[in-house]
Amino acid sequence: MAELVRDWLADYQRARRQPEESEAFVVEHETDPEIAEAIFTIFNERQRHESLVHDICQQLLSFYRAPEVVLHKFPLQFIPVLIYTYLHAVAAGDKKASRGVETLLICIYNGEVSTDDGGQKVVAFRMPILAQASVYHEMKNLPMTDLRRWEENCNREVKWGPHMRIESITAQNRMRIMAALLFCYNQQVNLAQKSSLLHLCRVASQLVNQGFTSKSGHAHRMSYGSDPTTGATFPKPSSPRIPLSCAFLIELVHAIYFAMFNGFGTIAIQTLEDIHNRAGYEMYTGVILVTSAVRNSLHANPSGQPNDGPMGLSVALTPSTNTVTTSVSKSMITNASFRTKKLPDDIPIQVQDLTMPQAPQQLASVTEESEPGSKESPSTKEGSGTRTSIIRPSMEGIKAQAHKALIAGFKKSKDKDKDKEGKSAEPPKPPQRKFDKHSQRNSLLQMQSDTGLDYEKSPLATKAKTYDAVVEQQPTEMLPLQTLSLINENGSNSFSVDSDMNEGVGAIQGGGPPGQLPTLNSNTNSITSSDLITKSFDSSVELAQLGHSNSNGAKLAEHGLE
Amino acid sequence: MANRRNTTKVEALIESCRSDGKWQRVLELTDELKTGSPHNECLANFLVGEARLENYLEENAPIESNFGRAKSGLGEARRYLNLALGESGQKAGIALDAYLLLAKLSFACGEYEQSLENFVKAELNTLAEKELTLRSLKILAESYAIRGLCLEQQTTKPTSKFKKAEKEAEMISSFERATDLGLLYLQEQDVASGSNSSNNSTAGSTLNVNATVQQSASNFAISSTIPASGAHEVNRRMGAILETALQRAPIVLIKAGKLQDAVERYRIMLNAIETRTTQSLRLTLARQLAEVLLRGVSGTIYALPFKGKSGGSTLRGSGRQLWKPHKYAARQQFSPRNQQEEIILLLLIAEALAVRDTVLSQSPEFRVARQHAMGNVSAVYDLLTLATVRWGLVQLLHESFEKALKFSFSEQHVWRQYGLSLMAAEKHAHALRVLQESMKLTPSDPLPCLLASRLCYESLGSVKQGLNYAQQALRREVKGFRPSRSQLFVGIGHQQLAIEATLKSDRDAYNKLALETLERAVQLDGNDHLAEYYLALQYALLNNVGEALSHIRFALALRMEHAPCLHLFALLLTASRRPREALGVVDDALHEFPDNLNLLHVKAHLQLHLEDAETALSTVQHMLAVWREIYEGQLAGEEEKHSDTKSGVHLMHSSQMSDKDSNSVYAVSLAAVSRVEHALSEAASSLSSFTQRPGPRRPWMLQIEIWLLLADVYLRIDQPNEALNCIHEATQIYPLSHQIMFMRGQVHVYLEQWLDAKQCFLNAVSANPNHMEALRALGETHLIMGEPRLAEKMLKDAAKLDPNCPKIWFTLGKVMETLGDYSASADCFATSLQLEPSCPVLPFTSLPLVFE
Repeated sequence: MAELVRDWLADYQRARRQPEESEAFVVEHETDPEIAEAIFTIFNERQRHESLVHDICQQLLSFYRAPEVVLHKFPLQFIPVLIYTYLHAVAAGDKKASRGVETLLICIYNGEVSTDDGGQKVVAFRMPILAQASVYHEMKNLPMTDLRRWEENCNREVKWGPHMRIESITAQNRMRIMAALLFCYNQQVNLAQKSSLLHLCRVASQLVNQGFTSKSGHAHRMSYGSDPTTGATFPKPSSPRIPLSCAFLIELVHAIYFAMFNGFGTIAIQTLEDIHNRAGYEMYTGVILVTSAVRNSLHANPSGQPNDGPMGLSVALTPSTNTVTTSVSKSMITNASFRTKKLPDDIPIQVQDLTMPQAPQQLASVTEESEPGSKESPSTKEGSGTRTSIIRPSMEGIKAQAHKALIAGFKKSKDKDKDKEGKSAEPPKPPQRKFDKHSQRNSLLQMQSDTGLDYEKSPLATKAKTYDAVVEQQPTEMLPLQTLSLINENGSNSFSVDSDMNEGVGAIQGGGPPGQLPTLNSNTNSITSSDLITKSFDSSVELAQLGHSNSNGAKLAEHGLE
Repeated sequence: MANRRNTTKVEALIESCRSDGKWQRVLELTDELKTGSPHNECLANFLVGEARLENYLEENAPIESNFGRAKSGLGEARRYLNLALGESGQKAGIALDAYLLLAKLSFACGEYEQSLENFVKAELNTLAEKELTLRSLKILAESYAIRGLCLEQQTTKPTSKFKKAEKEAEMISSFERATDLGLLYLQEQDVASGSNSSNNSTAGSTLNVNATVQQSASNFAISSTIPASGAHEVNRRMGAILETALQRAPIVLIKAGKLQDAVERYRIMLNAIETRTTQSLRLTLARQLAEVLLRGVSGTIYALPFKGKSGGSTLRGSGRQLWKPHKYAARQQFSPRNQQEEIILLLLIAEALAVRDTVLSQSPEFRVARQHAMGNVSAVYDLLTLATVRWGLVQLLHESFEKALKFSFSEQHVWRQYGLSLMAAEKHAHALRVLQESMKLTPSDPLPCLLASRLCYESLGSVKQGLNYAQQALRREVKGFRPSRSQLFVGIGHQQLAIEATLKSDRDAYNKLALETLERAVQLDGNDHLAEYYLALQYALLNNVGEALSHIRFALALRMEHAPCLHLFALLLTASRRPREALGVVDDALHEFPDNLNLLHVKAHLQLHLEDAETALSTVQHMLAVWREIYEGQLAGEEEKHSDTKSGVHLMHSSQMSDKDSNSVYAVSLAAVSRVEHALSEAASSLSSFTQRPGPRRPWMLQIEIWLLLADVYLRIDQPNEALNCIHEATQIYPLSHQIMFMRGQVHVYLEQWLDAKQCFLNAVSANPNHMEALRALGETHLIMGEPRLAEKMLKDAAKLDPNCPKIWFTLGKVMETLGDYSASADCFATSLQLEPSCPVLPFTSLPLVFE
């Protein structure tokens, strides 16, 4: 090996002196896979070839500065090994020995963070959002909540860099530089020889494991008794732990992930475990997030194992086509059961079909007690299209568009509300009590953050059940649209019905001008409180009433948005 | 005549049933057809064969385990289809279809060679592109799919390299055709069923009219079977063959080493307008493309999607190729410009699709469906995690997980990832809540406990709770690296409690426990510099400088460049009367950590201690510069974010920001008395000056510290006015800091304005009754003002708080002297003398809490 590398060194020296030979050298170099392997070996046994390591670094440096692209890219595949060599030397307190490597790393770093014209390199991308149609999707087929969620990131740029060029590496900037180098390595990892991935895995394991496995670490305990004032030297453990940073380890995981699906599955998985353990030890939440994500994807889900096929891809037929789509789906609640749609603000009214396939028979089951309900149901169906359109636009728009039937029915509904209030006030139900307690919180923000507090009491199986049950009985199309989405969103925040209700109430109390809309308040209260949901259906079967509560929901949403 | 009309009608009905896959119905109608017109026998044979075949395949998927059974089960169908092949078949134009169906049949029986032969006979390669009926489209799409699959499965290896390449190319083109046609078929089907259901009522009514004209009741029956409700179920499926082929096409390309082509294939398929049937397929494809991009494509070889076809979009409208699926074409489409954009876009779409199908019902009969949906969605989440964390987008990630909670009851992976992402996004209190849940879900894993413990110590300031979690983690520890970590965290908890404790008995008890646990932590993991550091700190707090020094040397041997270790080392050196060496250590350390404010702080104090106030002045000025460099950008970024959110109309966001908002010191200084109280109590809990508290309040607190230090320096070089200016600057940031009050008192002391000084110190003490320095200064002031009794009280309080401070004892001695209690005075002086050699320039409690 050493011979091979020496020849390689000599060849290049010769080639540089004679320009006509340099081209031949480049061609030969490109076709020779052994030299990289030999260099890896030398680095592995660097103790035995100290001077050679130095020479190699120098040569790699001149390669990196060479105008030929092949030569320029060649040193990049050694970045992980170089990093390990350097960090190991630093951790062992042997910085002098690693000067050559350090210089090389600094040069590569400075080169990689700069653009060709000397500016600072920035890798940036726009944050995609679902609310904008893309080559891969249209908005209309996705649920509204998803559309809205990443909206705030619209046009946000995510950046890597710019990075300052550096003159020297200190403890303070060391890991930052190493992470940046590894990032650059990851950008080009496709170009490296496949075999270099093996070395990557090996070196990564060493980086994270060193100093953890050896049991000889206790040897230096012997010197406890010695007088510290004499300045007795403390024997260092032969392989000290290497300090690493969160960002560096994340980049390392990415590199390993690439190796995992490009022919080195087994060893890469082992390395991943090592990184995971180290991340847990250091408590780097970011790294743990990523490593557990990869581990989970390897264990139990359709993402596929590295050896399942090329890149772990395999054909995943939709399983149980029969069971899922036909027989079961009737009563099964999926997220899609809550489907609502967002209308773009600038497009005129569109008729939307909110009907769910399972709606008809459930409609009957809920409304059976009220005679007019079953009669009215076709008309509500038709009406739903126009009504959904009032939900999105501004308050003025709502007022303008709210058809007269709505206003006409308003008075009627007031009476109904009173009736309902009377009913609901009679029995001292437990939710009522909570309601009082929570209504004191008057800010929306608080309401939002408070949901966290509800977690610990909420996810009791029974409560989740009741929640399910409540939802199950709701004929989705019958429910005023926005109220539905309200429930839906609350549901995402917590499982508990109680907290749903409280939030709803909080929103009204905090958001709405209470003096202005007294009846509206009471109406929505009844909708959001779980035990009254079905009752509100009964009353909302009438078209006018429904429209009324619907606009209420829109107002709710409006306040929510403020 | 009526008969003739009847047959055409029946034929039309048959065609529509074929499109809808109503094979049973086709069989019935074919009987009718046969009786109606005997010359249609060939067609009838074909139809029967087709219906039998499809009927069979609907129940038995064409997979390897079914091959054997299929041979017998499909005999009948094969016979009928063969009958349709004859000359009359050629004439009727059904021979082609019959061959294709025979190929399908052979495929279902596992006879790949035979299947391929049939394709040759059907001259599949030479077909011209033209408009096709729905059924023909499906047959053709499936045929290409089958041919691709057969070629892939073929056992006989081609001999020459050339042949092999040829075969591979053929296979790939088959798959590509299959995907295009398949998607087109599904799109057409969607259109057809859409118009079907809307036309249904009218179509049914005309039929009804017909039925009244004719006597046949069967027509009526037909119209009643067609309506959408029945068709809907069938529409949901595309068949295993098509689905396999659609997914297989890019994989085949990857296997052939054509990564770019595979990526392009995925893109084409995803670019096709989705249909009801393709929803789950799209999920798979989007996820797989993201996987390919994440796993196999690094930055340099990434090629943009649909490159070079930018002009083609206009062409596509007019000269659309007949056998290509319809594509998305909206104005202002988002088209990815680089790898990250594409990956994240795909994952967002996949997430939306996967989340929609998640099952909320918890009842046992849905368990399988729920798990399957959960698997799908968590696969997407995992990829999303991988793609976003690297770019610091944890903010967005935890939103995703928050959404996931709705259907993640008892899903430990989701809960844990949620907790971790919250922690990474620095939402401490929320993270703690989620981690508590995570602890319940994984009762054997110590990590959530450990993380919770760290959160409590580091960010939430609830040491007792943190200690609880650490102990819980220790109990859970059976294997792995972390028993030492848990042990260490228990030790840290005890240590912090000891520092906080005001009762001597408590403090002693906690100190003892801390020492024990930290010793154990060191024993468990001899290579852990952190354990050694805390052990050294513990010895230092116990005033055992010798032990502390030896342990800090061990810590430094384990990790040479560890700022807190060096910090402690320097303090320990000053505690053993070697301030010059300490300064040397700090200087060296600053060489490695030029921006470390803690070390600069120590350096300034050391320089003051060594009576070198001028250099101290420049050090502090440097600190201010460093502060600006580090935090100004950060705070500006923070402000920018705030203004962003304010303008945006998003509830979610503003509530998220509130966490940080409450930390902003500016807001505090303007209003919100309750927050001031909160802040005061915060300040009270942190005697130390540089306790690391993440979040935007910390930088401002740091700046106050720097100003006050600067004021101190100015006093030393006799510039009280400058000192007052500094104090003024600090007051601008946060007027109620007890440290500012104390420093103002110091200035008054310097100016010998005793009354004012006393008032300032009183203020400081009432703001923070545990501020030892203020108590001592108040005692001194009382003494000077001739109130020795009060001075004695204050000094005794101070001594209780910090019994190791020689200055307190010295002043107390003077007080006692004034009071005439000479023996007590002598005792005090003696104590002071005894303590003086081991007193550091800054108290050991000023060291920050570190976890790395």
